[in-house]
Amino acid sequence: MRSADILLSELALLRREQIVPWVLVGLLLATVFAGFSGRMIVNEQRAGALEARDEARVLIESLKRQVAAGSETARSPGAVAYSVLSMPVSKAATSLEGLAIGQGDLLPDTYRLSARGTHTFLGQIDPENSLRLVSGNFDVAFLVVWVLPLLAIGFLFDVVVGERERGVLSLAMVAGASAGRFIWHKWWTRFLLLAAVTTVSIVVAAWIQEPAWTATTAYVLAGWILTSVTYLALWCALALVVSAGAGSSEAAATRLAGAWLVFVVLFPAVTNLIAGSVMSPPSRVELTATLREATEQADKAVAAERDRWFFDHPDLQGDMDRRAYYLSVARSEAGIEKIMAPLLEEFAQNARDQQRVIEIMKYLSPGTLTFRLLTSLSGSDGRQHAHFRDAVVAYHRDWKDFFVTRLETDAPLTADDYDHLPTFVAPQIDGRHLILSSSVPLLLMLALTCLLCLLGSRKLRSTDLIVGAYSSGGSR
Amino acid sequence: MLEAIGLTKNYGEVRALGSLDLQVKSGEIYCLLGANGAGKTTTLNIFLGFVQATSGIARIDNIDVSHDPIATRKRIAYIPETVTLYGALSGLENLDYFSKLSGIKHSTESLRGFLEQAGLAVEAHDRPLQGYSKGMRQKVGIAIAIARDAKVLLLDEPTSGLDPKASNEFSQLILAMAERGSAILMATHDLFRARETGSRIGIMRDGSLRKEFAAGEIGHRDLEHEYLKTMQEG
Repeated sequence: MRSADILLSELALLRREQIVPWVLVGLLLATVFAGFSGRMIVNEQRAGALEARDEARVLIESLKRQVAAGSETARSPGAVAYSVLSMPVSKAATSLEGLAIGQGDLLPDTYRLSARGTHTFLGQIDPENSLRLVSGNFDVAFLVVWVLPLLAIGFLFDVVVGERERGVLSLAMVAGASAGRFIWHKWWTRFLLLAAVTTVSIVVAAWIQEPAWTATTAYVLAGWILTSVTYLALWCALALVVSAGAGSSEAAATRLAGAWLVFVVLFPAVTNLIAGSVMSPPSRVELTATLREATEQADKAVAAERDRWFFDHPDLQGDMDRRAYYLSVARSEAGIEKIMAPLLEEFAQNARDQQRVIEIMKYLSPGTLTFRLLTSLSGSDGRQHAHFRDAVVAYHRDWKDFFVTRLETDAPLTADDYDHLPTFVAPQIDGRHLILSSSVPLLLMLALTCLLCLLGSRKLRSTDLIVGAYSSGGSR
Repeated sequence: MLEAIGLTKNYGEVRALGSLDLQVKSGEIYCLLGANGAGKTTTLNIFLGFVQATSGIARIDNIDVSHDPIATRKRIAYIPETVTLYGALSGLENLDYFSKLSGIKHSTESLRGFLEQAGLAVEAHDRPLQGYSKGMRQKVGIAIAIARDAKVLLLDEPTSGLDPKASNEFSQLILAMAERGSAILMATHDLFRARETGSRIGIMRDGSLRKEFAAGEIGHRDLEHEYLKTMQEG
C-alpha cells in the first residue's frame, strides 16, 4: 500500500471516529474564545494607558496656555513637577500580546510618574513570581500549554498498543506492511492533523487581535506556530514511546496522563513554590514602615532647615516663597529616595533572582519552557517588563532633572519648555531578536522530540511489538 | 506447504518450543491442542515471522520464514484470537482497508462476495463493526483471509468465545477453505471442534508435540482421554 493511501485511509478512519472532528472543532472554537479573551484584557490595558496619555496631553496644553496668560503655577517648575503634572509612560506592546497575557495583568504596563522619588511608582510592582501557569489567564498560551498535550495523548495513546489489541497490527504485518511503517504513517497522519488545526487556530486567534501586519508581527506569529507545533510534536512522540512499551491501552493512557500531571501541572507548581519561597520577596510591611519612617525623617530634616531659614529671615515669617517651598520638597524627596533605594533595590534584585531560578527550572518541564517562549514572543514575560522598568527609571531621572534644574536655577517654565518636555521611548520589541533568543530552547525541545522519535522507532522494530500482547496474557 | 523441522524457541532460560517437527499439506487442517504455555502461539508466531526461532527451520511453500519473511507472509492469511479491527468502519470498509494494505484493490462487488462467502449477512456489510458480535467479526477476519487468496491459513484460538452455532459456522468455513486447497494450522483449546474440523490433531505440552492423531482414527471421548493423560504426564 502506498504511503498516500495509508494516510488517506487513516484520515477517513479519523473522520469516522465521530468524536475526532468535534474535538478539533472544539480546539478551534476554544482558541477563538481565548483569542477574544486575551484581546479584551490587552485592549482594556491599552485603553487605560491611552486615556492617561490623553489626559496628560490636555493638561500640558492647558499649562502652556496658562503660561501665556501669566499664571504663576504654570510657570513654577516646582509646582508643576511636584503638584500638578504627572506623566504616564507605557510599555510597548507587540501586536500579538493578547495571545499570551503572561504577567500583563500582574505587572503594570503603565507607570504614572512625577518628579517625586521612584518609590512613588515602583511601589506598584507586584513582586510575586511571574510564572503563573496554575492560575494563568484563559488565553491562547494557556490552551497550548495545558490542552494541546491532552489532545496529543487522546489522539495517540493507543497508536501502537491499541492496534495490537485490536489485532490490526498483526493483520497489517501479515498483509505485508512493516509494523514500523504502518505505525509511523498513523502517527504522522494524527500529528499533522493536530498540527494543522493548531496552526489554523493560532492564525485565527492572531487575526482576532487585529494586529498591524509588520515584519515583527510575522516573526512573532511564526515563532508562535513553531513553538506550539514543536511542543505538540514532543507530546506526540512521548505518546508513541509510551504506547509502544505499554501492555495495554489503559496502561498507556494512565502513564501519559501521569506525565501530563507531572510536566504540565506539578513541575510548574514546584517551580512557583521554589521561586516564591526560596527567593521570597522582602516584607511588604517592612516596605511600608520604611517609607513612613523615611518620610518622617526627611520631613523633619526639611522642617529644621525651614526653621533655620525663618530664623535668618524673621521678616518673612509665615510667608515662605513658592520656590523655597518646592526646593524643600525636592530635598525631602531626595532624602526619602535615598533611604528607600536599598529596599527597592532589594525588591528588584528579588525579582531578578526569581527570574533566574525560573530561567533554569524551565528546562525541567516542556510546559514551563513553552509558556516562557510564548510569553517572551508576545512580549509579556518578566524579562521584558524588567527592560521596561529600567527604561522608566532612566526616563524618570531625565524628567526630574528637567524640573529640578529649573527649580534650582530659578528659571520659570516657558511655553517652549512645555514643547520640549523629556519624552519616553519604550524599549522596542525586535521580532527577529525574539525568534533568535527563542531558538536555543526551541532547538532543545526539538532535539528531545527527535530523541523520543528515535526511541519510538527502536521500539517499533522490536519483536516484542507484536508478541507483547501474548506475553502479557501469559500465552505461549 | 507448511513445515517445521526441529523448531526451537527459548526466551532466556525458558524453553517455549523444543525441537518441533510438523508438516501441514495443502487441503489439510492441523489442530494444535494444549494448555496455555504449551507453545502453540509461539509456533504460529514463528511461522508468521513475528518471532525468530532459536534454532530449526520453519518453511512455508518451501521458503524459509527466517530468510524471507515478506515472501512467506504473502502466502499466509492469519486470524488472531481477537479480531476487533476498526469499530467505526463497517465490515465492508474493514475488508477494503486490509485488502489495500495487502496491495490488492478489489471492487465493492468482489468485497461483498468475500463477506458473503465468509457467511456475513448482507444487511451487516455496511454496519459499523462496533455493533458486531464476536462471531461476525471472525467472519470479517475470514473474509480478509479469503480476499488474500492465501495458500496457508494460521488461526490462533479462533473459536474462543464463540457460541456453538457461530463456532459450527466457523468450522464449516474453515473446511470450505481447506477444500479449496489451503493448508490450515489452527491452535485451539476446543477439543470437540478440533476433532470435528481437523484432518490431524497434535497435543502439545511444555513446548513439544507429545501426541499426534489423524482425526478419523480417534473418537471424541478418546481424544479427551488422551489430552487429559498428556496434561497429567510427568
